[in-house]
Amino acid sequence: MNKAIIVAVLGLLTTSVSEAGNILATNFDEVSGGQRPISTATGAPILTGGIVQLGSFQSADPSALIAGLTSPAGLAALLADFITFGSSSPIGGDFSGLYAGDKSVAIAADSALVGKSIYTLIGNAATLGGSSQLAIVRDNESFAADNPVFEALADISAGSSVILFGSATGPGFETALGMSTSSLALAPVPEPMSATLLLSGLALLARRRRS
Amino acid sequence: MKIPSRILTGAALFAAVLSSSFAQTATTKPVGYRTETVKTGVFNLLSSNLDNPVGAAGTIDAIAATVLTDNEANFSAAFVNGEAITLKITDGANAGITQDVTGFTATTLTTAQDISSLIAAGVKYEVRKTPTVASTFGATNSAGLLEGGAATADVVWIPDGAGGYTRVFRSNGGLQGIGWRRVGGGAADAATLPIAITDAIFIQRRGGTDLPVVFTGHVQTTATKTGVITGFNPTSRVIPVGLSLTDSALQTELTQGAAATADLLWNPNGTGGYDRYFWSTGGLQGVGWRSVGGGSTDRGAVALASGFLVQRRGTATNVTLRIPTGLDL
Repeated sequence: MNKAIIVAVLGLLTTSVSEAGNILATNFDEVSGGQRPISTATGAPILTGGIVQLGSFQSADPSALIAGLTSPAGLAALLADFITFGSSSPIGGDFSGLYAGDKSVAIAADSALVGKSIYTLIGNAATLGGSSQLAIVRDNESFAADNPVFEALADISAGSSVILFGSATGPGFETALGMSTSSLALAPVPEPMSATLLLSGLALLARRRRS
Repeated sequence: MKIPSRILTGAALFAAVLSSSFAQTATTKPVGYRTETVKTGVFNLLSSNLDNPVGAAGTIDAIAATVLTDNEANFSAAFVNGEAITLKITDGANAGITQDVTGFTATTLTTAQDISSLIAAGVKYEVRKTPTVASTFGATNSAGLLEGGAATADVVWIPDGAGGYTRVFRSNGGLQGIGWRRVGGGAADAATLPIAITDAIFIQRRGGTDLPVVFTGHVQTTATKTGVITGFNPTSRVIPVGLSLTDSALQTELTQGAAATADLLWNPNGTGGYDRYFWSTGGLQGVGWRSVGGGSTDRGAVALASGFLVQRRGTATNVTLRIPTGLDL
């Protein structure tokens, strides 16, 4: 429709509230100054590296999967249930201690993501499967089908986000946005390698006992 | 989205000045065709970027609210009552403004909105038939969109100017009969529904393969203005050739700021998703065109697709869809 905006009739125009397939994954809001940088389970700042991945769980309630993060099998089960949305981002890709990735994927009406909460998974390695420490945050928005577009914000620094795995009591430290008051501390998950070593040790112990 | 564009040159590209019996001058703009690939399974945001030829042109002699008079015109000879018509102001302070024409006499045009505060007597104008569903996709669907029912056919989403959409598809029978139909619109013919040159449309492709759609028409050779309201505005590039963010100069009319506060341009990425851009005014991302979540990398050279979304966060305003500097049409 051809239209011009004429000041006198602005009040007559309705406001569009179209749904919009982009989600911004981030841990800071430069406008408000809010930020939630990431630290390791032992409190060391992660200024660069790691992995941030958006998505959701096939399971209606992932709490059992999260409770099972006590073994490599538990991590594998959780990741097998996780539906990724878009590519991953590293921490500090552009700004030290911060991340921001605008992920855009078309979401069909029959997508398994539709209606599910948006989750942010953060690991301390280049892949989630290879990470020995993890955080899981549920954002206060849900996936919706493109109709014709979909938009959401996954800002873990927002007060509405809920930390399901990890801790909000990590140390504050200097990021590109300045000193943070606290960070999201990752929580340890068993590494396949350490688990293998543990099993090897148990096997050795058993052999010694037999001998 | 990769858009193969080809504007015909040589024999097919011409600019002829026609003198009519009613002392108007109509200029035939460059003509051509372009092809867009409509990808399967996604919403494709695009625009034909091509218009109908100028049917009448001249100078406005008088303006009274929504009625514009050109005493030398004979609109009745150029247009048929009931067909969609678009007025474009081509000079003056608000050159580029377009309006739906809701009625006409031989010498007057009635516009959908009162633009008397924006123009003055003496400004020049052009009038064209507005492209329609039938003229864009073919009266019998020569474009090849998937036909069927409302739930199975490809659906064209046409902006209604107020943030919503009119959805049209090609019905192949049943209760809705055969022809272009609105979703939920019964058997009423939707072939003449207008698609403004300033609007982008979505094509919801349900067909199982990507579909190349060929558009033909005339090229707009002057800047065009369009109104954007708070929210999402599917907007046409208007010009059928590449236009960079820098050349668009849209930052002069849109709200600048940070990703969370500035107006955003959603540029289709060719797979049903979007890259989002805004004019950053400082901070971590620096000053200039930037992508959301894209750090401080300058994005001024990014080319706008044929159709894009303007996410207006401020109040409604007019934006100018420019012709690239130095482009010789």
